[in-house]
Order: sequence, then structure tokens, then C-alpha cells
Amino acid sequence: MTLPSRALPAEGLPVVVGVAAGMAAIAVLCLLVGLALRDMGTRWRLSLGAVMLVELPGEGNTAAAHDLLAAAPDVRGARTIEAARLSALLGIEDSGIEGLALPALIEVDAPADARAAVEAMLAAEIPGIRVTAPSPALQLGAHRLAMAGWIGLALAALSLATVGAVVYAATGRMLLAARETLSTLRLIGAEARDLRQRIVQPWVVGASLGAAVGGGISALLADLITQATTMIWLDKEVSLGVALAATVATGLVAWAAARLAWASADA
Amino acid sequence: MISFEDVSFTYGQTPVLEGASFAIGDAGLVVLAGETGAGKSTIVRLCHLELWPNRGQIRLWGEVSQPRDERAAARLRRRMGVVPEESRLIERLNIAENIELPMTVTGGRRRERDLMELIEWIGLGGREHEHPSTLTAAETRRAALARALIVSPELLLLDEPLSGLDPGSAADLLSLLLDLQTIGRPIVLASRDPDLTDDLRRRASARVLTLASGRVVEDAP
Repeated sequence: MTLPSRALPAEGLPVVVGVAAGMAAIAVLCLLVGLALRDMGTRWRLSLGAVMLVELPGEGNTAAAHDLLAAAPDVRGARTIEAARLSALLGIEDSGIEGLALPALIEVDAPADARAAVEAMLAAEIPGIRVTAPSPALQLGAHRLAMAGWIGLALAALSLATVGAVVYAATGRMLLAARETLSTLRLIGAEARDLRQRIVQPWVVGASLGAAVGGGISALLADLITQATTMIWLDKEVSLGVALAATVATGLVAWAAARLAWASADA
Repeated sequence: MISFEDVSFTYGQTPVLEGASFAIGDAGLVVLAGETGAGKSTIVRLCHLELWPNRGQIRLWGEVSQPRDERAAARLRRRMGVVPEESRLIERLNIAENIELPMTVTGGRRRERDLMELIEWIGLGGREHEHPSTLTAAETRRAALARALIVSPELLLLDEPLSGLDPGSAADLLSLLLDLQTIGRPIVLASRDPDLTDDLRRRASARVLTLASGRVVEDAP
């Protein structure tokens, strides 16, 4: 059915395109920031959880400590921090205090919550030993950072829901304005499914177009920020993939909302 | 072509057609006569599948119309042309686009020359780019008639085509309708005007189905 567009004008289309562009831009940005934060948080949490520090009362106990750690169930690995590296880490190279007695340290790859068990096991054999693990507050911070990814996803879903609501309202308004035209078209033999397609199509095309522009701009912006900062960010491919997914999702949401408005008006 | 078999229809609790049975053949003019509320427009709308009978059945070209079968109804409607009482032209489209609308809906093609000839024939030549609001009542009725004829319908349905027109406009439109009678397709015309009914019976040998209180009380060839 090649009906002149004036017969069934989609008068709220610029609004829908604009809202879809804005909401897709927000959704893509939320998703990208969320993904980056989740990635950062996960890595931070893993690194915090992986490292435990064992401080030995004297160098003579290093081999014994390694033997005990090798037998511990939660320990995935252990390595002695060499004196030179420790000096470098503490920044006391060439400071004139090279002769200072440094503790012997072993870096242990084990979950943070195993600290007490590891310490008890080592202390039983090597008195005076100390085991430190990252603080629970840091662990919690890393966990919350990882959770921010889900908040980004929720905000993106909210943006899409906004597009759906706007498309639903615009389609409903269009159907109300075109009630007599639709009645005439049915009178002369138009099929309901053709009319439905004719009603739904502009909103899906408009919302998808808007989302493609808005999402694309956000993806490019994210890429520029990535290049301009040293923050952990996302690959360009991921950004474009998210923008594409947002465009498709917006189109689907617009389609569903317009169909729902048609069904409501038809009922 | 069309047969009504013991058809009844009620609007809510009000019966408007009761036990109507008649058949309309492949040609000729059939006038549905009777007072307002006799059931004439209901028969036109039942023929056009805008309404479905509560009882009985309607056959169109041998096919029993099934209630709520929208696709089949749309397919059958495309074989008809209808001029409703209120014309129902689309204001956003110009006269030519309104007339061409059934072709647009069916996806068919009509030569521009044929369209212009039809517009000339109904007396709206030169006004094809105007919008319906610029037309008089008679011109609106003519445009609706052209819209019904553009698809060369196998059945033409007219609901009170001359009502509300001044005598001159009514006479002009009547002469168009009498011309149409020669195309050899059946025309069903509902009218509450007894003078028009007599005129059509005399000048076009119309068959008159007279209705009263929802019943066919006379079928006079």
C-alpha cells in the first residue's frame, strides 16, 4: 500500500527521533561507563584478593615458610620478594640507608579471606610471623565498583523504556487523529495488517535512525575520552558494538510500543 | 451474486432487521426503499461487510461472509464500490488522491488519463488538486461516487446518494446514476425518498425492495 504520507501523518516523528537519539546516547554512555567500571572493579578485586603478604622474623625461615605454604589448601602460589626489589619498592636505593635491616617478605597468591588460616598455620611453625591482606573496605570498594556495571545496564534499560513510552504516546495520538482516515481506508478494502504496518513503520524507522545517530556519537565520544586519558577504558570495537546493540534495541522497543498502541486502540 | 438468507441484525437490544431473505443478481438497479430506521442502511452495511448478521447468512459471489474474518472481508470489499451517506473523503488528500485511494489500497494501477476522464465525467474537471472542504455537498457526493467507481466494482452500493442535495444537484447526480445503470453491474441504492424511488422504477426499471420496521414488506420488480 503506497499511501501518500499526508494521509496518515506521523506528526510527533521529530520528537521521537530526538528522544531516541538522546536516550540512545545516554544508554550507550551508561553501558560503556558501566562496562569500564565493572571491568576495573573486577580486576581490582581480583588483584586485591590474590595478594597476601607474609612478613618473616628472619631470613632463615624463608624455605620453611615456602614448604608450609606449598602444603596450604588455599594458596595458589608464593614467591619471595628479593631484597633488591624491596629496596626499589621502598625507595631506599642510593639513599644512604642501604644497610638498614629489611624484613623478609613472601608474596602469596591466595584469597583474602584465607588470611587468618594461613597466619595460624605459619605461626604454629614459625613464631613471630605476620600475614597481611587487603582491608575489607578496599575489597568492598572493589566489589561496588564492579557492581556499577549493573547500574549502567539499569540506566540504559530506563532510557530504552523512555523511548518506548514516547513512541507509545505518539502512536496513540496519531491513531486518534487518524481515526476517520483509517475508517475510510478500511471502508475501501484496506487490510488491518497493512494499516498497522503503515502506522508502526515510521516510528520504528525514526527511533532506529535517532538511536543510530545518538548511540554513534556516544561511542565516538567514548573513544575520544579513551584516547585522551590513561583510564582503563574499552576498545573501539566494543563501543561501536554497544552503539549498534542500542540502535537495534531501540528499534525493537519502538516496534513493540507502536504495536501495543495499535492493539490498545483496536481493542 | 448476493443473497440474504433469513438475516437478522440488532443494534444492542434494538432489532433493525428481521428475517430478511432476498437475492440480487448480476445486473440491474435495486432500490432499498422505506422510512428512516426501516433497515435500508443496515442492509447496505451488511452487504459491504461493515456489519455482521446476528442470525442467518449472507453470501457474496457464492462465499459465505464469516464474522470477524477481516482479511476475507477486506478482499470482498475490494470487489465493491461504496458511497456512504457521509461520503468520508480524506481532507488531507486532494480530490484526485481521494478518488485514486482504492487503487492505492489494492496496489493496482490506473492510467492517469482514465483518472482524469473519470474526474471529468463526474464534473470535477480542473478541481482535482483541491481538497474536499472546498467542495459542495453534491460535489462531495460525486467525488465519493468516482472513488467507488475507480476500481470498476462488481457491485456498487449507494446509501442515500441524493439526500440533502438541492433539486438541481440531485437531478444532475441522478442522471449520472442512470448512466451507471448501463454498465451492466448490479447497483444497490438505499433511499428514503419515495419520489426518487418512483423515478428510478419508471426511468430505470429498478427493482424496489420496500422495508418497514426491519422487514422486507414488498419486493416489486
